[in-house]
Amino acid sequence: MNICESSRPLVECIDVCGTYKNREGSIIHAVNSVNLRICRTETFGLVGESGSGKSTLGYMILNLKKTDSGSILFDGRPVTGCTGKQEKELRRCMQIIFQDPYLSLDPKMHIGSQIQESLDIFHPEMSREQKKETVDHMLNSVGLDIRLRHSLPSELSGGQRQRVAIAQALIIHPSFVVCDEPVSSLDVSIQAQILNLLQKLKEEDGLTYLFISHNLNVIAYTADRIGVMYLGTIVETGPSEDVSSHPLHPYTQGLFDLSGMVSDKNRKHVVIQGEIPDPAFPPSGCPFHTRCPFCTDRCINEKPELQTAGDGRMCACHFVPKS
Amino acid sequence: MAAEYETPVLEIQNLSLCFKIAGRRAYAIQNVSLSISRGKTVALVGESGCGKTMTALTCMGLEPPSSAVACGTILLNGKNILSCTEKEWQEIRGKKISMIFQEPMSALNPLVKVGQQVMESGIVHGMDKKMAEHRALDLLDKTGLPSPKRLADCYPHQLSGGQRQRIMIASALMNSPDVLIADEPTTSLDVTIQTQIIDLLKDLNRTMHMAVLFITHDLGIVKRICDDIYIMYAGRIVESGDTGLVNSHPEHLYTRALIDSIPAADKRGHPLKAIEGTVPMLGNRADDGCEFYPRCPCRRDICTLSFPEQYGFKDHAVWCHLYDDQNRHSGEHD
Repeated sequence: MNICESSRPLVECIDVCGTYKNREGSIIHAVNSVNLRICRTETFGLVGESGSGKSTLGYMILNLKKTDSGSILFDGRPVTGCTGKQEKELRRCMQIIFQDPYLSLDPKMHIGSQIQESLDIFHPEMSREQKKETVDHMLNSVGLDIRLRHSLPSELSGGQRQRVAIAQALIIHPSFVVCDEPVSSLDVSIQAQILNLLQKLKEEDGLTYLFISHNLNVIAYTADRIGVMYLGTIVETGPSEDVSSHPLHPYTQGLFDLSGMVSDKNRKHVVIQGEIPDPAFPPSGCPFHTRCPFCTDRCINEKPELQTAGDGRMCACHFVPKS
Repeated sequence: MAAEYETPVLEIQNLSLCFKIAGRRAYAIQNVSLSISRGKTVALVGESGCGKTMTALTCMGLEPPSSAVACGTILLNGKNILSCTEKEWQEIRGKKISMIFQEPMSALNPLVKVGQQVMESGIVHGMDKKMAEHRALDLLDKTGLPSPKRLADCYPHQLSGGQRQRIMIASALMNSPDVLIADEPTTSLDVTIQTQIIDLLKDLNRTMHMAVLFITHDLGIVKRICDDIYIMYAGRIVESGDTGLVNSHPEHLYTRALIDSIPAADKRGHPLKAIEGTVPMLGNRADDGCEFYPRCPCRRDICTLSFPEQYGFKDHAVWCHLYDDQNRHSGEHD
């Protein structure tokens, strides 16, 4: 199953780099020459520890953070450097759902008005009644009572708030949505409700998701394809079933072993020691070499490129056979 | 197993804690009984708002002042600590029972070096400074911190989340407590660090022979670390037993639903079996009957009338009316 080769990808990142400056003035390479293609109507799951650059990449695709080099194409048009009218047009097609609905909603605004705000911006031609009707319809489809229109975020539970955030993102019918850890702050039972809802809306609207999470169970369940990120680089990509049943990169293997879903019994268990290195001082060679149980001299000196490794799969490790 | 390991270090019996809401008594915890033996790890599992943390805080004598213990006892090494005065509590807290919190950043003082903070819990309980320093460094080393001497001289913001949690653990262990309560100690951490902390707690539990009460909403973690499990819903224990048994044969529909709602690779393409609705708010709980009624797929009229009795044996117990007519578990798991 390789959807990407047949059709033009919806999102394409070519050698994208993004940096931050920290307080001491040193430059942090949050995203380091990332190449990525996200196809229409797929859910691309991006997984990695905190500090691996997942969210930064998501923000750059949405033009919420400037890229330092490289280019990002959305539907064939450049996202990087977009301003004014073009940018507004882009925003209509791309939306984001944040991790913490306690922080992403305005505490002093009725949720109806918050959901309606995007309509005010993108559809000024709509009458008040039309807008109200659209909001009610949206509330319904995210499973909220329309009487909640006049509530404040503080009156809602965490799950309800996340539903509001979803309604807010989807009311203008975008084609691409970045879900940045949308269920990480929720209880397991509520998490399942929200994951089901996101899937239902995706099927109804033909949406494309970039699903960012550090929870491998969530990613393996939702994503069609998985990208594993470590210290600003993508170390492995491939179809979800293949990556979860036969992870190639030692880091991916370690992550899957930790999550307790080891399906490949022939493989040696990988235990990831220590913590992710400070991105201001990234290690030489392979970024993962400091924690890799299979590290050799070559890994310390030479950075592996992301290369094809089987059907629709790519991996950046010196010891994974190329194909 | 030695006989001394069998006597519970911490035993909670029929504990109820209530708040006054709009003139009515609202129970945050109702008739909770739970026991932990030395060297064992026991999990308390449930969604937010189920009363897990409230149970833990009551064991520490830290329940909110607006609440009142309606009935029950908490026995620590056979002595009821609920009747303790504040002065006696100060002798227990941090010495006999310690607690690790979910968010180490808000539990640590941002203005005091972490080494000092670890030493403090020893000094407060009468350790002299030299001894405290020695013990603190020893514990920091035991918790797996690289170069403990250097890190002890740092402020909390200079450390990573995993390092801060290790500091919290070291400070909780300063006085070798009998009971360690860990309230969602890994929720705010990355998977890789999560596993390291869990392995650390498991290791310490074994070497220091503490009784550990592990509070979490993640059943995946429970499988890895806990001997026994108690499932809590809306202030009551609804199922309890050996972790393996409860995981492989969940009897209460809430426990089953909790297990079913965990996403996994092999559930791809099928909607998850989510539990609709949420835990009822404290003020909206019924006086009688099973609180899970509105969300239960097998609810019957009797469920609103009375809270079910306990069915099953010591190794696995369940509180559900489904088992009313068929007390079929007698002896099944023995």
